Amino acid sequence: MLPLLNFFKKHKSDAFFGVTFNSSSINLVLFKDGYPIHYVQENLTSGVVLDGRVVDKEHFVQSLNVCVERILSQLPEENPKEIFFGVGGNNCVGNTTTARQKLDPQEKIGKNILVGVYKEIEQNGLDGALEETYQTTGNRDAQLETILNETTSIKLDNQVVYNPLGQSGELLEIQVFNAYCVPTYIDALEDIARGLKMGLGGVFPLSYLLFKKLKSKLGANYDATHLSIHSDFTDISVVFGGNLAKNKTLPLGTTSLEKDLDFWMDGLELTFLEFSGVKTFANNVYVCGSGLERTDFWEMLEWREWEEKIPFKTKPIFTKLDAGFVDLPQEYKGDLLISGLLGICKELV
Amino acid sequence: MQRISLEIYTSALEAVNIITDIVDHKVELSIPAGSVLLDNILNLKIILAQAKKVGKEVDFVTDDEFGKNLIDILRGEKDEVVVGESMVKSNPARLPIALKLPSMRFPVTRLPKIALDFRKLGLVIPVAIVLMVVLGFLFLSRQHKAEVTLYFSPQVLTKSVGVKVGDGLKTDLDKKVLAGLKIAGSIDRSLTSASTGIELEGEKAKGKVTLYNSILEAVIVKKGTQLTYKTKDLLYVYTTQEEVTVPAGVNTLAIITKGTAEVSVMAEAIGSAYNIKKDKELSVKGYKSSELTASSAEDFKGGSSKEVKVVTQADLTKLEQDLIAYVLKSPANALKTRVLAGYALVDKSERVTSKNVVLNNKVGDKKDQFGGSITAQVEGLSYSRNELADFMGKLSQNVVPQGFEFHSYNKDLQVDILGNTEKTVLSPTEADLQVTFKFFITPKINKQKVFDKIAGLSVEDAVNELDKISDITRTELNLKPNFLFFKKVPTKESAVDIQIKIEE
Repeated sequence: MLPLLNFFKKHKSDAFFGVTFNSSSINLVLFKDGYPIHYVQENLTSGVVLDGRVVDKEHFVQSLNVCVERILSQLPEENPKEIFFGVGGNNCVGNTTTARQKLDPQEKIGKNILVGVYKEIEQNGLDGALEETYQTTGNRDAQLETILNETTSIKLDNQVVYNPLGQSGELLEIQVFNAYCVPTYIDALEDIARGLKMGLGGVFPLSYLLFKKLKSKLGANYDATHLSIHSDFTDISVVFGGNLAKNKTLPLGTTSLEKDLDFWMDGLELTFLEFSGVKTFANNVYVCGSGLERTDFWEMLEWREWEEKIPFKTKPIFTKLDAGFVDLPQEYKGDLLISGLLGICKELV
Repeated sequence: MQRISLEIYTSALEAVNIITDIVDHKVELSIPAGSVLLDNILNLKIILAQAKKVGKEVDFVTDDEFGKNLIDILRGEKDEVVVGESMVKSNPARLPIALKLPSMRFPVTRLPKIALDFRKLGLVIPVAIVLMVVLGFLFLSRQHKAEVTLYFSPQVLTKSVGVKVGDGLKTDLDKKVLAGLKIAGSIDRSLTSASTGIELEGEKAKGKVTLYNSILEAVIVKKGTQLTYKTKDLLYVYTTQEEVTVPAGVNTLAIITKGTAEVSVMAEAIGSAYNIKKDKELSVKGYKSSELTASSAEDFKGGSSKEVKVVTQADLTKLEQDLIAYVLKSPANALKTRVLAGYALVDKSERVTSKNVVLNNKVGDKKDQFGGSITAQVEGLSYSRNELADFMGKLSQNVVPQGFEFHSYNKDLQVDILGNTEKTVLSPTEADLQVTFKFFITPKINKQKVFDKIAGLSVEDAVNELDKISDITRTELNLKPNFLFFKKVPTKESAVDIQIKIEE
């Protein structure tokens, strides 16, 4: 609970590794002061990673170690001690939970009230994530462990406040983004970090990192739809009023897209229809990830009449996110662009 | 309705392709437990939607526990009310979580008021002290516990059993059958080799000869007539390039003046050796040298030759054999990357199911190097190492000798194939294996009897009693607390914790 309250924690400025992986490759980026200074991409033997889960830890550590050594041989003066993993797809469940608490206007808000509200958020967030897991995988007895909880908004009587402690009002509203993984998944990543003789800095949902980055560029109240196309899956996020409202994962990624573009498009349409509780989708659709070089991909995105079945406000406009848009060097493209987003994860720790 | 059994790694796209190819419009898809399709309900929804597009109706069946839940969810959604064309579902449980928390009240525990009468303190204090001592004794009695640890050395038993592994078979301990997984892969191999054939190529020498006719009548030398230049060991043959008439020789005072004519000739074969100098004598085929002879009228030029490498039939046959030999020598290479993590390939279960050899050259190609490639499809049988270890672990529990109990098993198993015989098989779908495994057993200890022996004894006596147990290596006995009245083993059974430990 206490980390939730550490809004004003000071951040150390040092080098750290960020890594993303899929069934065919690893991307490792070395960050310094949140900015990428070197990267390495390494192919993986088939069967080492399946559906975003590391199934052959020994082999994975070997490959990742090769990446680490390649980077450090170029930058021997750096001595990173932490590694952060970016995860997506079904391996990570995220939700935004809002709690509203009526207050006695005569009393000042104390730590006890905040602790109570956060406890409710924690429980409701977990319940929501477990329900989402059940609806997606059919596993009613899943166990989940928190990997991230970030307070996204605190309002007192509908006014944004940064620290409600000691203030008074009638209605306190707190919004928190929570993300979870199954404990075995985190254990595996911890083992991998240990295998590299590093500390596990954290495990972060890539869709949330993208949201955070775009929020800093597009403003605090932006509306958008994000598509992050990974090798094995596609993450779809709905941002409304500057909040990451919903996420869904289409279990088809670049591999499927390259085999049968129509099939992938149909899958995407079906996934949009799966968003319950979303009345309208923002027509600004930001697309990033791999497989975007195909010109027919963009043609089909433009030609398809999405708004016939999906409640887009108007005909969607698809924009490819390039490195410049997310403050990365130009060579950061495809999967690597998504890996580059891990630069902001230290701000979230 | 046609029933199709999918493989564990069949993707949604592959499943849709299978459905599309089926003639029946109703299809039942049997999804194996652990299938990748069951990782996300959207896989099933995508299959349903795509099948509907091609006019097919799909039903799912599975043994997977979570998969069954997914199928139930799908069936439940079919019954949901669809409003208009929007398809937006109205399930309040899945709306964004927006909490309106009730204002919280914390109950306050009220403590009873204690009224102290200081006049009675003189009596109260000793009573309280006695009460505290009694309560303390009672508390400590309840805490009085003995921890007994009996150490044994495990005895190793080695067993060897025959196990049948088969793709599509279900693990059955009684029948000694283990579920296997058929895997497939391909080998692509290219080879290049040096051509062994040698061919000469070059130009034929050309020149002019003067024909000398000693016969007293004209001779017509036809085009293509062979002229031969002879050295010590070799013959060089040339042919005339046109027809020529050599005038008759003239006999004057017993001296015959030969009739002469010039004609162009060309060597029959290539080579610089045919570049003969001027004035070399040649014989004309069909004529005696006393009748018609020839002499090179100039230095012959243009003859040249060099050796070039050519591909021979033997080369191609050897390359094809080498490519096939490579595939047959190590078909397991094709499956190395296909074996799932935690699985092992059954040794020599691999079979080459098809092979296609492509030779890049043909006989006679003038190439120093030639090449070809082979693509072969290979199938093999794999099994889960963990499942086999667990299987043997369970099996070993059934063969523990009387008076002992199972302790643990060694996960390092020795797996030998039995090959193809009258009674055993070895193929990509089924294999008989001989699995040798070790497990550890310990003497069966009746904890009740141990307790009866030591209850109420001092530590020293209890240890002496424990040391009498057969096969025991050492004992440990700890009392908590261990002072005053608590220096003996408790007589209450639940207060004595007897642990059996194995020192390996």
